[in-house]
Amino acid sequence: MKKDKFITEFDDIPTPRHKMRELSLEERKLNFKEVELGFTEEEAIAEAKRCLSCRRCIGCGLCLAECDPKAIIYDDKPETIDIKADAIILAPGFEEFNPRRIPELGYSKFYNVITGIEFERILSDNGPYGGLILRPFDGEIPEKIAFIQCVGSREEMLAANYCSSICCVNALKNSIEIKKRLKNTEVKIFHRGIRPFGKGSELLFIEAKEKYTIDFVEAEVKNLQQDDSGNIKIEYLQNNEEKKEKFDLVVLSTGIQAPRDAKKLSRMLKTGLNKYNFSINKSFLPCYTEKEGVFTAGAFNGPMDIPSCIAEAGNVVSHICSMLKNKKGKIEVSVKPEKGKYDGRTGIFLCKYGLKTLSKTEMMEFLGVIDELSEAYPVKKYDYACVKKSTDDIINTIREENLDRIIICSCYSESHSGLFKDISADANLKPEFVDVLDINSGNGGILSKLKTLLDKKNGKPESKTRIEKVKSCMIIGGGVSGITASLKLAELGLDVFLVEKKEKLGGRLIDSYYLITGDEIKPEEKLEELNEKVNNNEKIKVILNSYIEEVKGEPGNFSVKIKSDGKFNEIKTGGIIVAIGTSIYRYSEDYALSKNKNKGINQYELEKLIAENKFSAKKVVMIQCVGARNYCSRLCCTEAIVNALKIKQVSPDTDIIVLHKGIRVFDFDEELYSEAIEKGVKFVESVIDPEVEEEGENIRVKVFENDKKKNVKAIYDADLVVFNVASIPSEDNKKIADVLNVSLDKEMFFKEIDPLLNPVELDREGIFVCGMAHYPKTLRECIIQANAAAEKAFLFITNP
Amino acid sequence: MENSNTGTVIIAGGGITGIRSALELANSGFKVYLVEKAPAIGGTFSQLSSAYPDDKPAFCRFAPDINAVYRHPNIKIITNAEISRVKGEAGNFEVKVVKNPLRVNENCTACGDCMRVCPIKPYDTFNEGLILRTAIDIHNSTAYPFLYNIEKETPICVETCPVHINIRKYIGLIAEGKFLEALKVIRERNPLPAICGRVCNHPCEDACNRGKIDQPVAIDALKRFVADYELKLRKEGKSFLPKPPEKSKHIKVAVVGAGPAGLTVAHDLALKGYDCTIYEAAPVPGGMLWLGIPEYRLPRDIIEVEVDYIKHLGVDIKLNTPINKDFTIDDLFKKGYKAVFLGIGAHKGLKLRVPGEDDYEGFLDCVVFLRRVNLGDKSKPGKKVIVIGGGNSAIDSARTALRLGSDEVYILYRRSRKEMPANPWEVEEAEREGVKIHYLAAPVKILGSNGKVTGMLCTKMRLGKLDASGRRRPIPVEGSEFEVEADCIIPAISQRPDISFLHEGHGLEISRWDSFVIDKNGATNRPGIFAGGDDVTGPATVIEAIAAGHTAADSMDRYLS
Repeated sequence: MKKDKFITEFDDIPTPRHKMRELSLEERKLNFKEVELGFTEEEAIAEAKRCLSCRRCIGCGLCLAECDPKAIIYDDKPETIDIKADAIILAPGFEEFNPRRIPELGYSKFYNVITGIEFERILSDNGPYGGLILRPFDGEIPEKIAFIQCVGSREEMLAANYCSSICCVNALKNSIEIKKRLKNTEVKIFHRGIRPFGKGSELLFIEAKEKYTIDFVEAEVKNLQQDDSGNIKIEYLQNNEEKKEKFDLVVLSTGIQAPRDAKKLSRMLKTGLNKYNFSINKSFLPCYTEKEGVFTAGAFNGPMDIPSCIAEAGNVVSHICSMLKNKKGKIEVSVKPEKGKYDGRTGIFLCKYGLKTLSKTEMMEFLGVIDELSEAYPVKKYDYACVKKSTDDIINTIREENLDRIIICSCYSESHSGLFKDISADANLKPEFVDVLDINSGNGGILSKLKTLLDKKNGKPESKTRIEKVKSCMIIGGGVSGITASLKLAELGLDVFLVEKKEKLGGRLIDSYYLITGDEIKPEEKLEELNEKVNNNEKIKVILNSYIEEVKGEPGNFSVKIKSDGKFNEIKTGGIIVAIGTSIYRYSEDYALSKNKNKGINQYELEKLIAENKFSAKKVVMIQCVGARNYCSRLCCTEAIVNALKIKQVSPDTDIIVLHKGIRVFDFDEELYSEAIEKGVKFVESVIDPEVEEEGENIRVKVFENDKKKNVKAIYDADLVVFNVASIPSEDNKKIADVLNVSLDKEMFFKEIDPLLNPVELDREGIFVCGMAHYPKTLRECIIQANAAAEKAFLFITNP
Repeated sequence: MENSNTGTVIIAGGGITGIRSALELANSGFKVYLVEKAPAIGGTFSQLSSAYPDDKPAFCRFAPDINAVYRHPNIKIITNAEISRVKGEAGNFEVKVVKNPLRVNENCTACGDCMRVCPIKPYDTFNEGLILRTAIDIHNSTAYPFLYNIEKETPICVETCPVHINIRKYIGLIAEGKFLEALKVIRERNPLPAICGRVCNHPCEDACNRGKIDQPVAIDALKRFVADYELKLRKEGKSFLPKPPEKSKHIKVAVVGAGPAGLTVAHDLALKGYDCTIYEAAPVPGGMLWLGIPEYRLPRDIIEVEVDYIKHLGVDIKLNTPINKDFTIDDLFKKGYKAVFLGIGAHKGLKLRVPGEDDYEGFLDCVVFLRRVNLGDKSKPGKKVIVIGGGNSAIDSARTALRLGSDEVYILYRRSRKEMPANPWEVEEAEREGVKIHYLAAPVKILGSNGKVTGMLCTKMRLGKLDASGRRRPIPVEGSEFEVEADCIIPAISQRPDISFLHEGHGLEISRWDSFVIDKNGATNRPGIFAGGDDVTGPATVIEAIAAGHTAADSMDRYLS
């Protein structure tokens, strides 16, 4: 939280400070007389009056006089608490970049220039303007809003030469939100290459462009000026042309910086920091620090989105669970509620927020019914039913009215339903007498449900029969993700069946020659180490050359039929983790070199060429996004840049041209990108697919302007064309999803139940996903998600 | 849960990552402490409107998790708190958590009456300062715990000041015209107000919230004003020095060096009733204040009155009395001193490490140069003077040379203006007075003939990538060398403590920068010997030296009683 942000409405603002009198330059010559002459009494008093006293409690006592329960203690002292702990997790989050460091932006001088997080507050229903989009300057509705991207990111000069990863998605989300709420408001995004990070965000980008007609301007913003009416003039440079445009409101997409107390924490706990003060982890052991027993998680490890944070949490927990395996305690169970008989005292609780999704007529009808009911039943309405203020009131109402059943009308989700059942237990109400109805299901649905519920005389007992769970887990796919998950589960004490369709373990690591993380670790050595660990582990049974054919039974007690070498086998398992990775797109579907077959390769073949010292080309053209459709394949840009840098290492005079549709490198990979530019790698935008032509032995790559006529922008000769192909969903996905009875998303990746808060669980209980089968990921992200999935599976299998 | 065998985990940070980790660990059977700095958990996620277009508000999405964390019997949430110390190893960490006061206890019924009467309206930090709230307030109306708290923290200026003078209080007193009361507040923490009022680098003003709107309050100049005001009254016979304290402790303490650190130690200990003697090698008191800072910034009579004030408290200052190999620290103990403070400063100029250095007349380090001038030698150093460096002593040397009658004075600095460590207002004044500054240039070789400096070979520099310290590294531009003429060259790059005074077998731990190694209480490895100021930190500011003096005096008092 930015405590240093401070705008005041004192009427003497702005007034400059009093300047001390001083000797004139003439009077200073050839003597040592004191230059500054000090204030007079009047000046001193006037200057002292400029102090704002920083507006904190002054101990006036007014509130104490008002406070009946006498709950106010002015001289409350800090309290020191000593705790003995086995492990420490550091999850201090991040600090928002302070845009005041770029004076040209005028932040904190101009009221209508705000930061991304301030705009989040404005959009919030519990925010400063009740969720209305207004300008801070005069409370007017803005008709033109600009977003400026990369404020405090990708700037070597600001000691932030990394991509903050999340700001593009945030700007996209918020600009769509604006368009939904204010149809006529224009939105422009000034950017330096849009980089939507994470699963599903490419669709958001496409939607923003096509459905919501949001304007994207690739430009360098030079200066901001405010006029009398509070409008902001943006001066920017687009294609070397100076332009100006006025906006009502400007949102700065401020970058992510290391948390403020990063240095203090690292000193105290002797953990490492990188040069931007983010935490450094051990390679192949994300979240591990140099200090044993101390882990870091979340944005302290680098910029990341919410699902990544959740995965990091799972990863850390998995490490601690195995570290403290022998120190597990029991979970205290709170008192079981007893009230279990229905006598007709039903209470109805309504979340007003949930109503928002209804149309106006539906809402009126619904409220009419509720009003009628309020004559017969106690009815309460809350702005938000799920916040503590409301839940406390629900508990009180149940007690006071002696209710023996409650119905809550809100937006429904499994977890919210759990929340209301939990709190009702505090008022001695059994869960079967708590019903949560989904307002979002529309009037017809909810009104009839409400009616049947009220007519019914008895609560429906929860029909959960307890089944004995099998204490083992099956992992499908033996790549890095699958291996990591297997090792973790074995470490935690479960039997593991690791099923791999090929004849050996390793997945993509088998064909890797170096890692893009910049680690010195050799993939083949790492692979050998992992293989050894798996093979020496008694708890892991590796089943190679096998497929799953059929899954029977129920969550916790699955029976999986496996086909190996034509033979069938039945295995009992408590849970299943899907880690089958992705396939690699075949560029021959788009590009075919008939005469010079060896001159067209993909990035992995190039990697092999370089690693085996067989690289000799002098003119290399790399084509990005080959086969990437409605999603960004996440890895190919970084792979291309790493390969280009390797080429420059072995053959500095080779020309490299990268034809791209927007370079997307995230977090600290940005450094590689700037290094590549510095080393002379040329990046050329080519939104329309380039064409590759052959003339005898010569290859020419044709690049087009981004217009409908397909005008030729440039033609490059090449003696090697590298097709940087996308990671695409495996062709097995459909079959495995059918066998497991889980869903795939539009792009045919495995679909998690909640992309935000539950990134590793699939929509059938007891089945989890990790690694690239979920969405293309870096090695680090795969390891984190594998551990997170293992931990979730472990909890599911071991909890009754 | 109290079973000592149960694994315990502390999580620092109550954002989404911390909350999720806590829940899953607790569900796995471990005990969890969730420590959050803010008054409520939730982190940045709770500030978001939604995570996707059309999605529920973030706090709504988050409610089940937050609710579960609060209700979980294995999780203890400590808000408004920070980890302050960690000892031990994995499996056995001993962690100290400091919980800052909320000032409202659990009797609060959240009726909201207090909010309606509170007259103080600070900016609402949860809403990023877009609206106001009250000083007593709920952090976030959708948060758990739903509780009120009073924000009564230390103002940013007081927090930033190395000696934590109650700045807000004394500025308020000045605004009311209560100048002497204001000085009293300053003197509680700063024994040299008139000096600091002139030469302090005032980090308080950099932090001042007013500076974020127009310009910071001129805190330092106001300090100077009240100090001067009292001096004037004293001269007119309208104000008197306080009665000196009695030397009730009957314990002798020696201070080596009469710089700001030493003076502070003597001042503090004299007030506590110790019998203090300061041994000063130079013929004048004040250390760098007198020998390093030119008169036009700090008139000598100001130093004299401030030192007189300390003498008046009963401190004996022996000038021209160096501690050296003939009269050692150990001799001090033999003479009956029970504790010794070393505050010798950093008076040894660093070498440039370029050829020709020390070979010619007209090449003299800034420490030597300024000391000579400040002790009364007002001869002109040369016609054309080049000062090398970007710190305050470089600026002081340049402006002094101008005043001594040099025709042209240049400063050569290897980085750009932005990286210059000197106070920006000093740089500005120097330029106004006629000093010319060349940025991005560094010396390569000192040129001379007939034993005298004739000029210097320089190279242009460019700024490269950030180095590990986060500053941009200057790199010589190849083939950009150029010559400049000069008859005087003054390097002012940095200083180190001069520890040649130590006798053999002194037994003190010395760092590789020739500085004394001390613990956080200012104690060296030898019992009874304390140190602080530039001789520990390397060249730093007056106010930091005073802060070090306070720390040392406090721990000497503890050591002696």
